[in-house]
Amino acid sequence: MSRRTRRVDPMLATGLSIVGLVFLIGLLAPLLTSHDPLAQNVRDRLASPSGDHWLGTDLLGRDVFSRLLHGARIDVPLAVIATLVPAVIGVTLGIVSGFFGRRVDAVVMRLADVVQAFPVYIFLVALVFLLGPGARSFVVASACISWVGYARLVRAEVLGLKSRDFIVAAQAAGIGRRRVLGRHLLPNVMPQVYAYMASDAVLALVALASLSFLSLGVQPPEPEWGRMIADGVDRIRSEWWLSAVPGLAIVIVGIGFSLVAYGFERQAARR
Amino acid sequence: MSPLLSVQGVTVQYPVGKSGRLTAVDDVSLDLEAGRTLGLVGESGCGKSSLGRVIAGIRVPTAGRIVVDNCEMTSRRSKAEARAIQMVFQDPASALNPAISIGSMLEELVRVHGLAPDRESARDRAIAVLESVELPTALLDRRPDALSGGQRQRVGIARALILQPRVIVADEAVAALDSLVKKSVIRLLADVRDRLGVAIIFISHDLDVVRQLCDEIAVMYLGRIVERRSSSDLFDSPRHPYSKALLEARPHFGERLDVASPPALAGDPPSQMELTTGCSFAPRCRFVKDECRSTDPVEESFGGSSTVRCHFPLSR
Amino acid sequence: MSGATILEVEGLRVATSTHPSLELVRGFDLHVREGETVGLVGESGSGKSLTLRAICGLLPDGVRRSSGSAHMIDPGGSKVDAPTKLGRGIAMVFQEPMISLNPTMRIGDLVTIGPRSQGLLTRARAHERAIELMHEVGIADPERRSQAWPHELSGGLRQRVMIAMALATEPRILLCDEPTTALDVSVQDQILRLLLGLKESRGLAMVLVTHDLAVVSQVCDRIVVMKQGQIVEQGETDRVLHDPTDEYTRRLIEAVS
Repeated sequence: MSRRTRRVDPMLATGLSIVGLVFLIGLLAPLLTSHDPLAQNVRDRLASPSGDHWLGTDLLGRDVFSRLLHGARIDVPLAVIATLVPAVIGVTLGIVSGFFGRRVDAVVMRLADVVQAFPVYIFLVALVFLLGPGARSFVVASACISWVGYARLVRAEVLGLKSRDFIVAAQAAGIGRRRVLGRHLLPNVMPQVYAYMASDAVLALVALASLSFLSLGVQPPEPEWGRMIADGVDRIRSEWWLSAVPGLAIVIVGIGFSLVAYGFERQAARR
Repeated sequence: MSPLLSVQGVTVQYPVGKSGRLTAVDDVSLDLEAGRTLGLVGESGCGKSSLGRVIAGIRVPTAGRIVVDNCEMTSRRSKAEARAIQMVFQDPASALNPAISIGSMLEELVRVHGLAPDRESARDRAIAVLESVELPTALLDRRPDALSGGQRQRVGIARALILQPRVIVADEAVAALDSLVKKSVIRLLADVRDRLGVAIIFISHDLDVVRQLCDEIAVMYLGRIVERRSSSDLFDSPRHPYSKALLEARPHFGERLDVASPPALAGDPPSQMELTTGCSFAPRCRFVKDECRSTDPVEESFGGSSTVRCHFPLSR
Repeated sequence: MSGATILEVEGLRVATSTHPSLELVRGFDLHVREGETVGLVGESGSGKSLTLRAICGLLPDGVRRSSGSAHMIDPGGSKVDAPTKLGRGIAMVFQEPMISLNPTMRIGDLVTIGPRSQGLLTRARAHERAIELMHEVGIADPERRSQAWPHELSGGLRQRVMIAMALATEPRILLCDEPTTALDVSVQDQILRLLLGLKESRGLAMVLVTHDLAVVSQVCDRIVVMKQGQIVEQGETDRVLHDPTDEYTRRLIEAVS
């Protein structure tokens, strides 16, 4: 008899707090700073940090601090969306593939093989290029590529769970397959999926920043962090904070997501 | 009176490799009356679990049919058919969904089968069935990991009962339990049989456990029933050499093992892939004669539902 | 049975590593004499398996011996800490031969792996010894079988191999953790007879952990009953089973008879 205390894992709590805080900051950005992130003032460009501009201004005279905060409204939600969409697709395909097997399984797995045959970034860049750069293309491209990880993970879990007595019992008791998949199989698969999603979010964030760095992601003048890094690259010797600070923001959010992933794993392991 | 459950000519075969076939159950037929318990015993590879799963509708047989109350069961059971025969599983750890509470599981079954018009009455039924297996109502909101092995097994029985089946197949239902708990669960099954008139097929490798619960015992070897007798008759005077060997091999409480005498049964339980001519037990039989190796014995009945499949059944 | 004590366990306590106050075995004492078979019975959670493993130092992660001692006593009378004698006087036989045998080694190599790793056998002699041992544990056609892989053998044969492996180290005592629980009843009968036979032919002492009282009554000279980490009763098998002094023991016996 286990007397498991339903305590939330501290790593999970910390990670969620970090991500939540950044998300909140992004949400409240217009209230936290009076400067317009898009307002250019070429005469005042590349100013050092001061009382008025906490992090100075960039090449076009825009307030860096404001752009940093507003960047959170772009990067965090987009990373989450670019994780959720492939997750839904992948989990669905994985369950169906694992449970029904045979032809469905063969088709889905071959499709997965094809997708995985391409190096991820090259595929990503190619797709975005095809669809035209921008946030929407990024999400679509992520969906086309990242679903595979979820599908394989879920399929493996389902293969293992399929023959467990409680699944067999549910079917033997006359419960329809759709219910068995949704009510009995899925809840037992999700804990692993959550952990995977959180680490996938880190990858999505970095992919978004990278694409934007290459001018293929979020387009200027939007204050996306990866784009900001790119803008500051030429001034790295003098105004190093232009690239370093948004980079740090990415790292912090990345750590947040990673802690969430680690926390989920530890929590699942304790069951 | 026609029997409640009639198993007719059931065969279960699995393809192995490119052209091989493994016969788990070989043309087995048996009848069972309402309110009776039949023990299905045998060692690994005898087919008792496969047969049990065919009866419960979990496995589709290669041949044969299952008839309950004169209605033939379809191979993919409908909901109504599923209600008629329910199964209790061996492993308390994996028999219950760890992600949902006991109450949710029971209520879902009730609702899926339309046995209650609303949530209230579904919950009432769940409460009633938990009480019938002597479990506190508080367990309704707990998940399986909060329960002991014995409690989980009782929940497994409750799950089988809530659909009001006519037949219950218990597949090693007490094998994973401690001896003290075993007794109480067996008592519960006996009680269920007496109160509800449910027929029980009790699959077990443990003859002593089977004796406590079952009116009759069918001994299986290599996919066939080699003997079927009332429990007391089987223990007193087994007629098939394999039954006798099983009875001798099991550890007898209070008796020292005499190392000087040979083991009750030498060799290993056989593989189901090698089909031999003649009696399948001949290679290991102490009383084997020439005829046993050349001809396959037929099942002969004598007295009621007693049967034996042997050329030279043992007598007192 | 000469009557000399060969295994002496005193005040053995086992606790979890993270919470030393959570004790799983609470003060276990046992003296095993040469050639004696002791049955250690209890239900799940009684601590019987942990006790056995603590004696020979094979506790799993997260659990450790918190106090007490286990000593092997040499014919000369000197005491040696039992875990150091593992493979040199004590041998252990496990429950699940399926997972206890290295699947990447042939049976012939597995049997003598103990003495070979201690440098006690040359390769040539090792093969001979393997055949001898396989013969001793009743494996038919040992030459052919020595080339087999573990997964090719039945449960009963694998258990015989495990016993042969244990015997290869020339132990004076065998610690068996539910050696027949996972086996068919006819195979269990064979293995129990084998173990009893070895007791007679080699003067081997044994501690047999099991939940099955009937097995104990068939095979053991003495019985120790455990409940929740403690010994509740011990004594000669016949006496305890016919005239138990402890209530729990009485209930266990009732459940079987």
